[in-house]
Amino acid sequence: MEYLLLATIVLPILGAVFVGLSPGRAAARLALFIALVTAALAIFAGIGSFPGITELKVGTLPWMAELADTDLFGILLDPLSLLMLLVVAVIGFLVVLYSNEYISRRNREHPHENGQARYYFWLLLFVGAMTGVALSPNLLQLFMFWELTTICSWALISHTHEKSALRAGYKALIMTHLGGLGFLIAIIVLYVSVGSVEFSALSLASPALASTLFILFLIAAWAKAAQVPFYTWLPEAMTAPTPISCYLHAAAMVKAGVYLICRLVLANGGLPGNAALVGIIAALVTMAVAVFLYFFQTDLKRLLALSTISQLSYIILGACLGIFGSTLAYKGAVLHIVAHGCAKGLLFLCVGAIAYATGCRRIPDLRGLAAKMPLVAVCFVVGLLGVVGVPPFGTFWSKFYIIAGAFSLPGTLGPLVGVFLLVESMVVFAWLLYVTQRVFFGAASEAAELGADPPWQMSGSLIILAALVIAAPLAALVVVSHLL
Amino acid sequence: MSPTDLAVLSMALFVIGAVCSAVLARDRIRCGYIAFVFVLAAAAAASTAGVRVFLNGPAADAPLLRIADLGASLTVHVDYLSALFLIVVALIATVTTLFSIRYLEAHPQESALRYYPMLLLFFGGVVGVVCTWDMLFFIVFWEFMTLASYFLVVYHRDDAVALRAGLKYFIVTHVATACLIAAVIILYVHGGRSFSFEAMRVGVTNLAVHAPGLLHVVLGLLFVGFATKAGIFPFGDWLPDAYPAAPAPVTAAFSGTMTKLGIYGLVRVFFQFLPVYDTCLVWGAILAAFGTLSIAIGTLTALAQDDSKRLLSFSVVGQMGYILLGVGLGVYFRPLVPALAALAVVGGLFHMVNDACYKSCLFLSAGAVEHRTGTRDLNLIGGLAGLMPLTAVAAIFASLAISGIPPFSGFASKWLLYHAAFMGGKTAPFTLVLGLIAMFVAIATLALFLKFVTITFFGKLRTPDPKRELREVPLSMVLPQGVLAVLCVVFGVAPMLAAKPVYAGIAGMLTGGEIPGFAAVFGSGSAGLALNTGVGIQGAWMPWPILIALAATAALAYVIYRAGDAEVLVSPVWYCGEEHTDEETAYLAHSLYRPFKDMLRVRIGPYETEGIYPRLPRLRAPGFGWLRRLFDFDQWAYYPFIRWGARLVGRFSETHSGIAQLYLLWMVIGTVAAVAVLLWLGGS
Amino acid sequence: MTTVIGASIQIGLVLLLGPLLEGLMRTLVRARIHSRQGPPILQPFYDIFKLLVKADVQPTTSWIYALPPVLCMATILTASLLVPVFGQAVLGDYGDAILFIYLMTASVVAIVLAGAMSASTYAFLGLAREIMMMLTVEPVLIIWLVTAALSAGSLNLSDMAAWNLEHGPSVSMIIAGLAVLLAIQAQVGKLPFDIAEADQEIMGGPFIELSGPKLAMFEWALWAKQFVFVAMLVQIFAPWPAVAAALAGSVALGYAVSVLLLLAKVLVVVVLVALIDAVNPRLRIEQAMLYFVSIIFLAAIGLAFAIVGI
Repeated sequence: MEYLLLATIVLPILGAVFVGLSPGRAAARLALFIALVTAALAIFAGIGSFPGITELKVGTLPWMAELADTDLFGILLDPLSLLMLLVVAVIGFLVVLYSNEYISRRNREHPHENGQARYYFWLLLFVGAMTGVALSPNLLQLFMFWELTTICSWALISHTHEKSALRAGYKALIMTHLGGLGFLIAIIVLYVSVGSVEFSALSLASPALASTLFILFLIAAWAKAAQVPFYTWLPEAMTAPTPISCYLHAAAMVKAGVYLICRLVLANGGLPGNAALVGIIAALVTMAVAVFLYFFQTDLKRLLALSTISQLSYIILGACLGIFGSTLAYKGAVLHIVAHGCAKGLLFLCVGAIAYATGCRRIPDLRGLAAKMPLVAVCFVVGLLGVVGVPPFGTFWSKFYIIAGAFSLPGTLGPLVGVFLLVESMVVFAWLLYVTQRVFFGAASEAAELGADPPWQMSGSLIILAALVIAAPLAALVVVSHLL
Repeated sequence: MSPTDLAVLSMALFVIGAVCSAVLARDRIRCGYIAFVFVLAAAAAASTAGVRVFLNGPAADAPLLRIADLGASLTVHVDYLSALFLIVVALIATVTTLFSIRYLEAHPQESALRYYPMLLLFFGGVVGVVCTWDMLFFIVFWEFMTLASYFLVVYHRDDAVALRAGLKYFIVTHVATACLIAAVIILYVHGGRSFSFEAMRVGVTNLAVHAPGLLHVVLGLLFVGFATKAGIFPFGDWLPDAYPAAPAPVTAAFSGTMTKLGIYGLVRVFFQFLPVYDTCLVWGAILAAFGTLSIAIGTLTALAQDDSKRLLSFSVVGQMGYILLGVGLGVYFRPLVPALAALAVVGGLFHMVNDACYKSCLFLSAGAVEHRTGTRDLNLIGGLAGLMPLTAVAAIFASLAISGIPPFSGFASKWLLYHAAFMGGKTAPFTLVLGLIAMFVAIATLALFLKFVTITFFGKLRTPDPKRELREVPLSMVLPQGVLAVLCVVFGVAPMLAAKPVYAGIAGMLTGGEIPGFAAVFGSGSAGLALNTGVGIQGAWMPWPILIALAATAALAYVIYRAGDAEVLVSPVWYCGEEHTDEETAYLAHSLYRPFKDMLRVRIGPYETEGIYPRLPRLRAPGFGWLRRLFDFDQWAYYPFIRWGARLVGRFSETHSGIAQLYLLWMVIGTVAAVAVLLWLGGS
Repeated sequence: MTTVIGASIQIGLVLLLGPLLEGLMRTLVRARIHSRQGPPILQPFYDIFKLLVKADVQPTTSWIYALPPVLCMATILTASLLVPVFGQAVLGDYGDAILFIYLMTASVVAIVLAGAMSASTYAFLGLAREIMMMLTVEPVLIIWLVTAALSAGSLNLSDMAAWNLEHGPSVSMIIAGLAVLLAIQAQVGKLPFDIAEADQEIMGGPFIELSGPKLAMFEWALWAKQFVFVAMLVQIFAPWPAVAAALAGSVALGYAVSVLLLLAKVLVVVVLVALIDAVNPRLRIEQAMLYFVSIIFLAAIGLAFAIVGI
């Protein structure tokens, strides 16, 4: 079982090399096959080892032998990484499936087919890097895969080689990389002070140092997860092909940032409260800023990007509330990774399908799509309800956990945060519903006349994700109950 | 099968029916019949569950699902109150689905896929709401119901008005749900980390002891949450927009089930969760006051409406006010005079049962008229009684019932409310004022429905489209109206039929002996009500003797009427000898009650109300340019920083000028500096 | 059996005394004030008999058209059975003040339906006025009955009368009774408030298309209504002298004396009504409504006194 898990890292990375060498369409087919196998392995091995904790030590590099007593590299699968692994692998497969149709001349937004090998190379590498992040047993290995995801995202955001895309990719690289610097410094200081790079090493440090280090990790996570003040790269990265945006938002990249925080909180009991307070305040500010920017956004995809930013704040917030002792909020945060992943992935794929058919993403130009694209409309609405947390869909459960957790905290901070979250989710709900109505209902606009439901590869991904939006959080509820 | 199993079965049948109808949606008639069969089966299960609870007592089940982390469990529990609502829901679901089958013919451009599945899911959600015994799952079902209902409101999705109404509806009710969530979580925290109803009661009790201020906040949030759904003014501002937008049978279903669930929630909160404290006095008064406000504003605004469904929607606001008044007085009198509390709340819930019947019937009648004439504008139609006699009779019966004309059902329930308010006047004079307002407005209700009936069914035959074939709607649309109209009479002449279950529903939630037994308050006979709130019979409503008297005097009057054996001649309407076209002599709905409507207009400075209904002026959203600039970190932080860095780097590269002498100079300066530093270090 | 006999007697009295009072008023009061001879006192009966045999000209063929006049009469006669004449009213155990108000309202509904069925613009004009008058006049009636009910602690009409009898006149009842007296012209459809019928203006309003027996029934019913209403007013407001206690032994005698006393009291009120009717011009509907709004406030003051217990 352990080796199957290991294969979920190795297979996509090795496969990426083969895919990179294959010509044109063959690369797409091969990538699809590899992604499918990876997802199947992840599901099989992940569920097979649940609810236990699986560990495997693979080895270490000779010059690093003194860094740790035991082997430095390996895999670790506990309920938290299981959830992350499943999200990464399954959505990865769906994105590859979707891309099989999306990267084509039939696409009205990006009508070209060249560079497919390159595309799938980076995408598979991305999947591999993310499973690596999910399964990393310590901070050092996590950091390596972390930086690998940064590079993959740079390549994929710039995939079209248009000027804006190149610029956006570069910006994403620089900003997340600079954040990563915080990560690196934190690891080094941690190793120097307590002599360990384990996740749990943070609790060995003195409270003052632990606070500082946690804030450094937070900075890395903020940059990666596009939180204030580093959020500006994410909306710009929307020039990427839509499946890539989907993967960036739903499963990879930004989720790596919040995963780090969740992991640290899980591994270290008794982290200092003032650091958590910083995280909470930053998360609240991010939410407020993102929600504010909603109202001025005319690009459907960028609107979703802003929504991602505010949703990721929920996860960081929940994790930080966990530091204050609210296990409920922490579990909600982990649940939110899954629930938000499915719902936001679905939304992005829907926007991709709209752009694919109409070549347009501007909200004012789109009207009455539902009549032309019923399937996409249904999926978008499902995704919307999932993201805003209308029961019984997706994020209702996770948000409810976080809000209930917030209210359960003694003192005034928790209830205040809870009220804030309720208000935020109401405003988001109202605005997104408004936008959805504008885009899908009413008489069809000129751009919408071109609309049609996409071919099966894309429709299939949509339908599977729509089912997951409802089912995945419920399944994840079971997994989450084994945390802590 | 136990009642709980039946309730689950009913819910399952609704869901399965939704799936089946979704599969068959291409053939809309067949889809409609399939949906109806499922609804019929589900309604049979639900009503059987309800009836068996009334016969054998409440039934509870082991949890179907548990979320251990939250202390929440999906527990099906059918007590008397749930049973009462189950029966109402079963009735309304059946009649509205049956009505829908042919009604949808008028909208061939809209897919049935967005209709029956959503309608059935909606009913499934409603059944879930009334059967669950856990606040978390209550909220889940509640929102599920809201969700399905939203899609039904925006069924006409090309209609901009409907879309706007749907948006408003969903947002407002969602915010209300947020209030519920906040309140429920506070109770959860204070009630032992569980969401069960028992824990909610514990939470309220704890709050009442330790944090009375917070208890008021919680009750306020719950009140706002439920009152919004119930359409209580001003929280139910969405209602007059959303109801007319939905198809008529959907509106009937909403008014028969969904708005009533707001009352269900309030009754649960204020009778089950809230023990008898002084808090009851505060919140009872607030509830009753909002109820009365709603009665007055809703009904009087309805008087000014010319759109049949909008008129009915405003009257929903008014009627929900009566129900809330009853509930509020009930809460108020709980610590003071339990007999009056029983009287008021039974009156309120009895009125709710009646309202489900007559208001749904009226919406269906308005739908039938719209189905044939193609319009809801009362100014364009008239004189349909001859062509649609059965619809007319049903509408008249329901109108008389809602106006409270004896012996129709509305009279009995309003009569209980008036008694509670007037008899409570000795204890608390404000109830007297509320009761008087309620009774005045009852007359306005009569005026309102006389307008609806006389304009639609009497007067000159008018129709906007003469080419349309005007005739009675098909049987499947008449039957639902007929059933509801008959019930309007049944509950009027046999008030005990409804009052007893309603009383059981309330008494079942209260700790034993809090309110006196049924016979002690409402009289022991089964023929009618003889009220006694402590000092002997204070009023009676025995329908049968009154009916016999009416029948006898009517017979006498008819004998006198025919005594002269006058012959009957037919001649056209007489306009005092002048010749007029039909258009000139038409009396429009708009003209009715003009002087009265003028009296109701409120003008404050430049602001003027529509009728007496306040309308918010349109707000222009500010641009927030400075805030947008502040949040654009790129423009004022990162880019300037990068540009500054680039300039700095540029300065450095300027030193590489290619002039060898300059490089030599740098080297000399560097050496001198280095030596100086070394010397300084060595010196110390 | 006694109930049936009592009911029959009471209905018979109402049917007879209604037109008789009207005839008395026409001849003895209005004609006197107008300085003219006036019709015979039995003229209302002659009118009814004449109309009952005349042809019934109606604008539709529907049999439904016969319903409103019959219903109007039936509701008023039933309401008359709620008037406590001697001890408990005939239907006093089965209905109360609220039922009385609603039965009176139901009679208006019958008029409105009759007008609506006739499809004439004048009828609609009249019925709209009828309803608007009802909207502003009925509150006065309600407040009055509630004032009495509050003092008596019961909504049963006989209890109210009994309480008044026992406790004598109170400030609240006097004010409320005064308000009802001021509103009585509208209740019985007399000048200056016969706005709904307004013969010179809208040709009888709801009754414009009625003729023959239908008109007879309505006229008769309205006269009966006038009698029932005034009788109720005096019985609740001024139930003196206390006959019931004195003559408890003999029901027949007691009843007869009560009826005579009632008649005497009714006559006083009716003369007052006729006086006002004869010397006043008709108001416009909005003037009338404003007038009644002030009457409502007056009645409310009476209620306030009742709340404090005087």
